[in-house]
Amino acid sequence: MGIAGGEKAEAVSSAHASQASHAPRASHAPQPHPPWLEDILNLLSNVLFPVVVFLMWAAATTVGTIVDQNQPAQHYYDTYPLPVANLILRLHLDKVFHSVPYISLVVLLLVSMSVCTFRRVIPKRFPPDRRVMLDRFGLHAILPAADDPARAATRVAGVLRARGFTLRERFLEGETWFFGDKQKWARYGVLVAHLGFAVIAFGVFLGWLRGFSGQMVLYQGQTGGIAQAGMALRLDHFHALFQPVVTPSGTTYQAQKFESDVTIWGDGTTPRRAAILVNHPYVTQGGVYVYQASYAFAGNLRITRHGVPVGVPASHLNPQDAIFLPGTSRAIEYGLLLGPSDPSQTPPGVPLPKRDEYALWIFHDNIPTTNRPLLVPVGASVDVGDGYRLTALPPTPSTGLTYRYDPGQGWVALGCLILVAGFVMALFFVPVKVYARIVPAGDGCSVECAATTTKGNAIWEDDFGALAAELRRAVVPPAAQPPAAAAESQVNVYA
Amino acid sequence: MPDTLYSQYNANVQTAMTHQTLVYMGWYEAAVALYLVAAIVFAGYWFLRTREVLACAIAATVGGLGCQIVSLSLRAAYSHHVPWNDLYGSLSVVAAWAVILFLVFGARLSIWYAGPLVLGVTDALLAYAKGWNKGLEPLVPSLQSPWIFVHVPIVLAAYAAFLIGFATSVVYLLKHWDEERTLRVAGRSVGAAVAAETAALGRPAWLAWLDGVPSSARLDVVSYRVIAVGEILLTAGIILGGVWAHMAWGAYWQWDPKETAALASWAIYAAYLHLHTRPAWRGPRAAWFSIAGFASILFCYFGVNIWISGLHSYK
Repeated sequence: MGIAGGEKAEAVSSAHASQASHAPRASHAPQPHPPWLEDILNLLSNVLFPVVVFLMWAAATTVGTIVDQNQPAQHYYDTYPLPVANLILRLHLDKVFHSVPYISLVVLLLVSMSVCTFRRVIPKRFPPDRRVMLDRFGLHAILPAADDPARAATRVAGVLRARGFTLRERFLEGETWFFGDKQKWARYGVLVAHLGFAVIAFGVFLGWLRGFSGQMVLYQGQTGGIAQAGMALRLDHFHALFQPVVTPSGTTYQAQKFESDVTIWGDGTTPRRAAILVNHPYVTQGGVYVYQASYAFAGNLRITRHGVPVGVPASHLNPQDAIFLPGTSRAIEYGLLLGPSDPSQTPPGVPLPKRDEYALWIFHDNIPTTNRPLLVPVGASVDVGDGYRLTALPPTPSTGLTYRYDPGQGWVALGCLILVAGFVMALFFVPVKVYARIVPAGDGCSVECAATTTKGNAIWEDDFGALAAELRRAVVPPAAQPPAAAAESQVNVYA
Repeated sequence: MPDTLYSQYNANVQTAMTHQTLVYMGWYEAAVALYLVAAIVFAGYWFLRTREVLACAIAATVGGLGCQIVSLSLRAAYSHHVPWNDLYGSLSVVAAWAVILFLVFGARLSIWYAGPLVLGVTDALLAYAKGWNKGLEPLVPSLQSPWIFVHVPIVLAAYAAFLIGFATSVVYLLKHWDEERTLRVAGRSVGAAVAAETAALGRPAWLAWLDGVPSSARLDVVSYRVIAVGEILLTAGIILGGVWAHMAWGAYWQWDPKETAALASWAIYAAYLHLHTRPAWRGPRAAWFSIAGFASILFCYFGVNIWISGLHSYK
């Protein structure tokens, strides 16, 4: 091979490094940090470390997914067996996502990712152009050429350029060497992907720092404000559309559309009307989004005693709300609304009334006065006893709105785009470095060829086989070509 | 008001079976049968390595896919919305994607040896989906969005890619075990020819097909490539889901059980791809990682949809 002793050792070492997918040389470089800092950096930049943290994070996330979060203690005792509920509460598994250990894992992951990026990804590069022992490469081939070295070199260069390699020709110790790169830029894919994470993290931080969100429930005609944005909304009208669904147990009704017609003012513009629907939020000029989240049709009763209205709250009633009648041991428990305003409340199999009516119970001394709920159509009155009378009024629709201002969302979107671009670069393209050496031999020469990638050899095995075959066709005399059957036998049986 | 905002009003009701339901289910059952035939013929191809057998297996697969596409199209036409609005529909789409990706990867990477596993698992998923068929129901408001055309299919395609990655990883482990065993036997033998024969004798006959499978190093690369496709699809799917959530719920990320489970799966596959950069972690460790990743996908899909309530509890 003609490689001098000391240089040979270096070349072999280089070749081994290549075969090991270019293991970073940071550990061999002079250490600029104190030993303890170097130890910490080595730990953080060890690929195993973030992987272990990743798995711990995934396990914690899974627990947080399975166990309902941020519920009152009683919820866990109602849901789980006593020992499990105790375990959840004692280990604070009911607040996984906002716990110090969970956030610490995320921070540790980000730190480790940053250290890995600076110590492993950025320095990762192909070995420099120099003489190396090509037969030590996992992917290598030796081809006897019929041409003189100059002509063989021309043909080799032609083949490599035709395959998209950026070539550099060197004359080293009387031999012609070619060094070629292909898709070298793809090495930066990992860096780009991690940069995407950093941009996402910045956007999330910005949203946490300067953003706000909240929710409000507005009954028809009611006004609510978003203090942070200095704006207010009034629910002018709410309407919902339902579709019957025939089931084996009877017809049920499913919401198809619900829409809040609101008037908005104070967002820097004149008052304006807007319709807010699911998937169609209203966006103010200042970037505040207002979303349609939920709806309800509340019960609405008028209570009188001896014909005089009684000041007990009897509007905006939700199921199981109770109205205690003053001066008596009587109470009214609101059940639900049956009727066309919100047919989804009607149980399957129960015929839908043509007019809205309320199902409710009247209690006396905590005992129901009837053995089945009273059905009171809107407009009708019922004697409750002790001079009290209730009158059913039309239900009051309400809307649940959420609002959100997130100045970081643009950054998050940008980070996502960068992340995907980095993923595509890193995973779909293989950076390859190819070596070719023209070795004079008698009247002709031989061509040695080798290749290495940043992702190991196996991923480029087929391509190298094709490259070697093309080089063989270009430089090897036809008489010396392997028979077709032999070449075929090398092809994988499933190929 | 409901306990929580962001209500889906997802009734998850079982609708009465109509004639239309029976029609699209007929095509669906034909697909189940054809995939089963395809899996069996692909298993036959392990032992009878002829182009005719392979052609029959591919024909049965394509036939099954055709039936499934007809079934999904009919369901879409009858219901006037996308057919992947519930667990039955989405499982059906996962199966279709798995078959499409298997045919694509089969053509590009020659992974026909994974056919019995891919089609077997796909067929099992499809058969299981039948129990979740609720008939034709209207689309709930939160799903009435153009994003349903991109977010859901892309995520389901990612699941399908991971299914294929799981299959190739299982084949990898078998092949690796066979190679290791051959090496061990060869180490005790006198000559290579004797060693190979001894090795073949020491292996169960039903595993003879492993001789025709590419080397474990190549299988490792195939798994890596398939999983890389799945990871990019999952990344894109999660991001698109975030955009949709931003438009529908007011936040691109809410730590909903489906979101967190998908993120955990994404993290496992990201760990796989990171570890694959280290030569020591390629091979059996990576294959086991891939299998663990697929287990997490199953949890993310079935566990969250069926057992855990949340914004994605479509059954």
